[in-house]
Amino acid sequence: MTDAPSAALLLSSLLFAVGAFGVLTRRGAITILMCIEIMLNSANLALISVSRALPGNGGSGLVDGQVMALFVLAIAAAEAAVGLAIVIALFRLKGSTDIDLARLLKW
Amino acid sequence: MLPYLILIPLAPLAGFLLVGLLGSWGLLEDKWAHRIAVTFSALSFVFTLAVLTDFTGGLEKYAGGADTSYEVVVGSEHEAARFEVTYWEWLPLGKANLRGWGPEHRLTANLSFGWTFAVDALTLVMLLVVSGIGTLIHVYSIGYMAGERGYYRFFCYLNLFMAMMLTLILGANILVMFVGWEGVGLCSYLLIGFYYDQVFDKESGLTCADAGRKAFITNRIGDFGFLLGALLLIVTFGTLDFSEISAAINGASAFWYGSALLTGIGVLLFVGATGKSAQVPLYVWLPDAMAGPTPVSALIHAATMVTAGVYMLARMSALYWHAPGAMFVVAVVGCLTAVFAATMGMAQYDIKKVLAYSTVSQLGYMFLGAGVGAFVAAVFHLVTHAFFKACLFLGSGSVIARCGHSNDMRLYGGLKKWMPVTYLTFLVATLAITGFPLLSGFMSKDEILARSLFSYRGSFWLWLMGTLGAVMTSFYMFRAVWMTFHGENRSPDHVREQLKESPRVMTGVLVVLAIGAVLVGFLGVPGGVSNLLGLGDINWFEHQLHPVVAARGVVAMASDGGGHGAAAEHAATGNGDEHGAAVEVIREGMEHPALSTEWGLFGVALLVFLVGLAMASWAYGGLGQRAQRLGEILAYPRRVLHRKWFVDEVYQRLVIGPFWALSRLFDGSDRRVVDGAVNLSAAASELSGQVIKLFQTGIVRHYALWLLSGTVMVIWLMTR
Repeated sequence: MTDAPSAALLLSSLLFAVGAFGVLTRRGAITILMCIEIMLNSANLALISVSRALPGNGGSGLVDGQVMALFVLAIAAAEAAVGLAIVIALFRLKGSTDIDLARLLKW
Repeated sequence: MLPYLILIPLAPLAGFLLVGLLGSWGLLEDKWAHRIAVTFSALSFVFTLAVLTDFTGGLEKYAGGADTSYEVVVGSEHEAARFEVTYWEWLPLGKANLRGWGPEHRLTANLSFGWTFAVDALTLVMLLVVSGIGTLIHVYSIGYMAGERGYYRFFCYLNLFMAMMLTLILGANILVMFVGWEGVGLCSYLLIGFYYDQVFDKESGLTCADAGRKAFITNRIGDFGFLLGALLLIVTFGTLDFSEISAAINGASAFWYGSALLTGIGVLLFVGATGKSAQVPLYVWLPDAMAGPTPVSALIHAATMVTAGVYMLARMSALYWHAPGAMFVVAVVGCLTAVFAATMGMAQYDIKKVLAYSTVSQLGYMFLGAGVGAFVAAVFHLVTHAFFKACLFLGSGSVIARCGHSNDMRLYGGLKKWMPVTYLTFLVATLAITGFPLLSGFMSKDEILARSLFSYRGSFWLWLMGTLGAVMTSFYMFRAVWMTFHGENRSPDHVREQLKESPRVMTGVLVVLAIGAVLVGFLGVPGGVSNLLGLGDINWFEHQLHPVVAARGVVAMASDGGGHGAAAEHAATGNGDEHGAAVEVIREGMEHPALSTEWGLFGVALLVFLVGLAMASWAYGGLGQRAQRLGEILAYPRRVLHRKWFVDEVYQRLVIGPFWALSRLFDGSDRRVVDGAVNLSAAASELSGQVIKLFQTGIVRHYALWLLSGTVMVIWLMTR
């Protein structure tokens, strides 16, 4: 088997692909939000594993990637809050969370 | 009073603002409109009188003062008395390097045009005529315009006209003059179109507004020449100030004499004068200008505005003296106009058209006078003409107002029974214009004719043409008198029943002007006439004005008594003995006129008057049957004259038609080519928008797909 960062990056890529696939194919707003979370967390995984693997700080790796992951977590929380609020508003308006019903904003 | 010259135009300007603003706010009763207008107009006459007394009292008290805004010439043998005052720097343009075709070539001038007014004898004469006759016509309008729609508007335009005309006269440089020049043009346009919604010419269906436009546009053509002349003056002399230009020319007299540049400038300025003063070929607007109310025809289109060209020529006399070619053009055009307009005047039935062609013709005489160097006689004719022609126009206005606002002389006849005062004043003015001995027209017109024969810039042919025109003048004027006041009345019954004399406010003005038409001639009794009467030299007018317009430098005229002047000009032109000999002969003729020659001229003038009178009374006296029969015999020439030699039609074909075609071409190319290009780019962006909008489906997943594929593409490009 390959070494730890490569495996983590492979997993991260897989997770990202799963998330993107979900976003592009699902119609339920909640599902899409969860898929977005998966994509964000795949990015977090990649950041942390690369951060561990890089030399520096007495062999324990740089903390930069880990800090970045914390920021992403905060943003993900905010995104979830806003996203869920929109979903609730959509549900009140249409009686469903199917995002294909919200298609007024076009030419 | 002299430093407060500006009050003269400011008074009517204030009247204009007051009447115009209050009137347009609806705060002005009719009687207050004319009270204000007449007061302010009279005020400028009073100021003019004050300036006159101050000026004749001598300028010594202003000379050498500390105030640098004055420029005073006390007056001497070599220079006319003049007072100039600069109110403010108007266009201080600063230093400029000019081509300067003068003796020293390159010219660095400090270009600065001030709001400067100047007074000399010529200005004073014009001021008196304009403010005096202008005020009289204001008074007359009270009666004539009574009850008309837009009463206040009429008086406010009249006041504005006065302000602009006085500015034109007072301006000490061409720029200030040009402000007045354009201002009077504007007022003329506004007043011709005063009855803007009425048709004035049933044959062509032109409205009064069209007539106003015609006047304005024709004047624009002339003004183009005038402006070019002014610009050439700037690059040549670096100034537009009349006195500085004169000084520059007179100072290098031998250099400038006969120069092509001065001839060009003179002709260009004269083009402006042909527009403003209705000379061939730009006279066509004046007969149509009769669409305006009659007092306007009297004030603007007879007495004052149309004489601006003559005034301008007299102002620039130094330039014209040094440009014999330009003077020749002026004389020929003036002479042609005098005769040509007179022929058309003989066949008109509209009384105002007769007077309009008469005005064009008389203006032609003024230019003939100016063109042969008789500037004083030209200006004198301007003054006398202002009196008798204003009287004639106002008399015709009195008739028109009483005859149901009809201008057609075929519907008049026998009016002397009902309108004795109008008849008598009209007759006096007619006698004056036709040159009845010792009336004002005799003094001025026959002086011009005599000069055109004797002056060394005149010729026998100019004199002969002018005399021919005088015969026609006598004919058409007496024709008008006969058709209007004598014979049987031909008015419709409802008009005849109401015929009566015009109100006092109108007839009073007529009487004043008629008295003026008789007496004003005695201000400038020509040398020939006073010799015949054995009175010696009593030409007061000549004495006052001659220093202003006198030829100086090498062209000091032989008749000035300076033999050296003639010799110098002879030397300057340097072509042969023939020229010099001619100059000698003229000096003899002007200085010591042979008594027999004077009697001969007097006889010709009297004959001219009598022939015209006899022809008119033979044809139109009695019941007018002879005119009828004569008209049938001469049907074709009569039709040609009545239709004004088809000049309007020719202009339509040669100028206006091609101009319209060109305009349509430009219009088409603007719509198709220029607008087409703009519309094409608009269509292209719309089409692309139509295509691109298909990508905006409103479905979020589609956007996400585009986003993702875009990202993938970017990454692929970056890692490739």
